[in-house]
Parts: sequence; structure tokens; C-alpha cells
Amino acid sequence: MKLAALVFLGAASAHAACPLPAPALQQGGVQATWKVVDAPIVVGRHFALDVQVCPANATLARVDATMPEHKHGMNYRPSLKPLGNGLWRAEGLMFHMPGRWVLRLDVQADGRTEQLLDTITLP
Amino acid sequence: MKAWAYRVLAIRALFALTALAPCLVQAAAGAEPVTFTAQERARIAAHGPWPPARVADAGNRVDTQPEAIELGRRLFSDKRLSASGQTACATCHDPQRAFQNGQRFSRHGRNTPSLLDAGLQRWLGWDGAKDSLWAASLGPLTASDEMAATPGAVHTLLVKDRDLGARYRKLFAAPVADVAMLVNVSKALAAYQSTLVSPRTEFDKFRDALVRGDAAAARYAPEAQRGLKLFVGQGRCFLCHTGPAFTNGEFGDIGRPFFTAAGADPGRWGGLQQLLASPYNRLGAYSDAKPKDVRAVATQHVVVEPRHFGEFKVPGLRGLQATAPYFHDGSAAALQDVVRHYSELDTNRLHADGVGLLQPLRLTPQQATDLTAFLKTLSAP
Repeated sequence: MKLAALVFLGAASAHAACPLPAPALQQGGVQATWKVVDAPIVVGRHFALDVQVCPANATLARVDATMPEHKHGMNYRPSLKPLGNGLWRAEGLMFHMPGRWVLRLDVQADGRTEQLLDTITLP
Repeated sequence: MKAWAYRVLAIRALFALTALAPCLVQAAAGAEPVTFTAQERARIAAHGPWPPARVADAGNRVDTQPEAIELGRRLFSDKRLSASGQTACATCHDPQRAFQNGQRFSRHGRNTPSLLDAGLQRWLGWDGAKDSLWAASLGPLTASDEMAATPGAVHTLLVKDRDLGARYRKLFAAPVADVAMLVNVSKALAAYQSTLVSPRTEFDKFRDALVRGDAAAARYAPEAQRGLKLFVGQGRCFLCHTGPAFTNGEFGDIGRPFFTAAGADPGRWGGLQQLLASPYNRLGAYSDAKPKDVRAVATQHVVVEPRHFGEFKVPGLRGLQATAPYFHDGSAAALQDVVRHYSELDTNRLHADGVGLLQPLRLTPQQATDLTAFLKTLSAP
């Protein structure tokens, strides 16, 4: 489990070469790292993520997040924009409660969709 | 920002939290001390500072202009804006009543919300059908069962009242009897309403002192401290009532009935239908910022799901003492009734597939008194 502060400590560097260095998320043949754009995540405020996928020609198909203990997700559906070299910008995320959120990144490569999960806990 | 900079920020943040006031806060001479854990102190700190710096609404080009604020202030109490000549904005949003009217219902079985801190809100109205203060002003201004203003009538007012007309022209050019003129009037009304901010409270003094590690924190009433501990602890109120305005700005089902004399109130679900169909939302032609508006990110990305049916906005809690009755349907006459609702919550009324975090608090009489005492400190003395 990551604490909120680790959101930044675990942030990925953009344009990283494949394979991505630890602590990258990995599932099947794809990897991903992410970092918060511009600001720390604040409960009730929108934020954006930069997501680096590997291989670089993979597609970031979906970004979502849920609170399993509360049985709900976000009230917003992020939009995704490729920035080149496997880097994607996900905008429109918002965590409306403190607590444990599970971040989900769906990455498509070689005709398969892999689901990569990470945990973010806001105090 | 570089990775090392994030590390510095994170380390500083952790240091600040651990450097907050001592765990033990002596409430008052002779009273049991109230202790706050590091996590509780962090949650308390997140409810400030207050007031927040004002951020101009890019969707309203006159938002912070003094002339617009003054025109809006004058129009706010002007009954001539209404078709009947009997209703002003201030009729329901009475400045002497914290900009609400103290009645249980006004329209559609809903309570009239206060306008204090309205300029800080992402969504306006119990159903969030509006995404800006100017759009929320345009709604009642033109609604047939409220002020029923028409372009023609408002144009006539601006022509006949030379002072009002001159103020309007200075901001927007000569009035033309069209919808854009009503939008401009609404933007002036919004500019005024954006200045309506709740005053600082006893809670704010305590919160700031706690963050500073100042012994003055101990001046906060012991029952309020105990209530605050419930609020950020076992009561879990902070999950939704978070941030400096004591709201996450979103919507929830708290087990209040949503059936009215006119049928079911769809709440947020209905509000979303209105929002996305409206030409007056932040994505529409009447917004002055359009895609450049950072606040439009909410409207661009919001989703409509069945769970939103019967959800209503999480209200801010500042100024509570002056804004009774409570809940979207005004069904709680006093703060004690609100606390009792959460203490005795009927979970059968909650959405079966909804948020799984609400459980009856089963407060003791002393805990209920403490929580109420804390809520009262969110109003200026």
C-alpha cells in the first residue's frame, strides 16, 4: 500500500526507456508507471496523471479508480491523450473521499488488454 | 517537477504533520484533556486555512470587477427584475438569514440553500444542475415559477433606470433585449455572490493554532474538541465533509427520503441531465473561457450513472447555526436532529448498491451533545 506521500516518491520519470525501471507496474507483457501532474492529489480536486507505458507502441485504453471498501468509483471518467513515445496524459480524475483508492490502468498491446492496478491512500 | 523535488515536498509535508501541536491538547482547566492522533490532526488541518484566496472564475469575465460586484449587489435586491415585481434574489436568499429563507421548502420540495461560499462550489443546487454561479443565477431569474424575467422586461428596466443602465453599459456595452443580456445580468449577480464568504470561526482559530503548535489551541471549548474528535474519527463525517469548506463538493445518498408530493426527486441524476443539456454550462457558448476554463474539467468528465438517482449535494457546514432547517428537503429543524439522523440511521433507506460507508453512529447522549457543540463552532459567534 502506498501512502499519499509515496504518490510522489513513486512517481515515474517521463520518456523512460523500456523496460521501465522499478517500481513499475507490470502485467503480462506490458509495464506502466505514473505520476501526478503539477500538484499533489487533494481530496475533492481534479488532477491529471502522466502515464508511461511499455512497450512504447502500447495503448493506454482506460484509466479508472475505485474505493473497494466503499463500493464506489469516481464520479468522473478521465480522458486520455497520447503525448508520444508511450507517454499518455489522463485528465479529469478526482478522488472525492480520503481513504484507499485502487488505480486501474488498462494497457493494450499485441491484441491483448492488460489491467494494471496500484493503490493510493489519501489521509 | 523533478522527482527529487517531489521527494523534498513529501518529506516537508511529513515533517509538518509530525511537528503539529502536541498530541495532548489541554481543553480547559479542570476538563479532561482531548488527545488527537497524528492522523486526526492531519484531518483537522485539511479543513483550513479559512478563508481561501479568491480565484476568479474565468467563465465570467467580470467576476472580480468592482463595478460588476456593485451592479450585482444592486440587482440582487431589486424586485423589478421579476415579472411580478414582487420577487428579488434576496426574497429567498435573505441577507439577514445567511442568504437563505429559513423555510423548509421553496421549490420542488427542496430547501433553499445559503449563498455563503457559493463562489467556491463546483456544482450549484442540491442536484448540481449548474456548474457556475452565473448559470445558477440565470436559472431562478428566468424560471417561470420564480422570477420569470424576460429579455424584453429586463431591457426596459435597464433603459428606464438610467443608473442601472449606465452601470450595465460600462461593463457590457449597450443592452440588447436578448438572452445574452440576461446572461450578463447573471454574471453581475454572480460577481456579487462570489464575495459572500463565511466569516472565520472558533474552529478556524483552533485549527490554525493546532497547525502552528500554539498553546492558544487550548482555548477551544472542550465539548467542541470532543465533538471534533468524533467528526474526524469514529463518526467518519470528514469522509464527505472535508476540505476548508467542509464539503468534498460531490453528492451522496444519506438515507433521506426523496419522494415528494410531486413524485420522486431524482436528485443528482436529474441534475446531470439538465447540466449536460444546458447551453449555459461551462462548455457552452455563453461561458467566457470555454476550453481554457480549468473549472470546466468537471463538466467535461462527469459521468451519469443510475447510482446518482436520489443523491444530493454534500453541503458545506460553515455558518450552520444560521441556516436551519437542514438536509435537501429541510426535514431537520435543528442541528440536534441532524446528529440524531446519523446516530439512528436507517440503512434500509440507503441505496442497496450505493456507498457502503454509512452506518448508524449509535452516539451516547454526551457524544451527541459534543458533536452538536462542535458543529456550532463552525458559525461565527
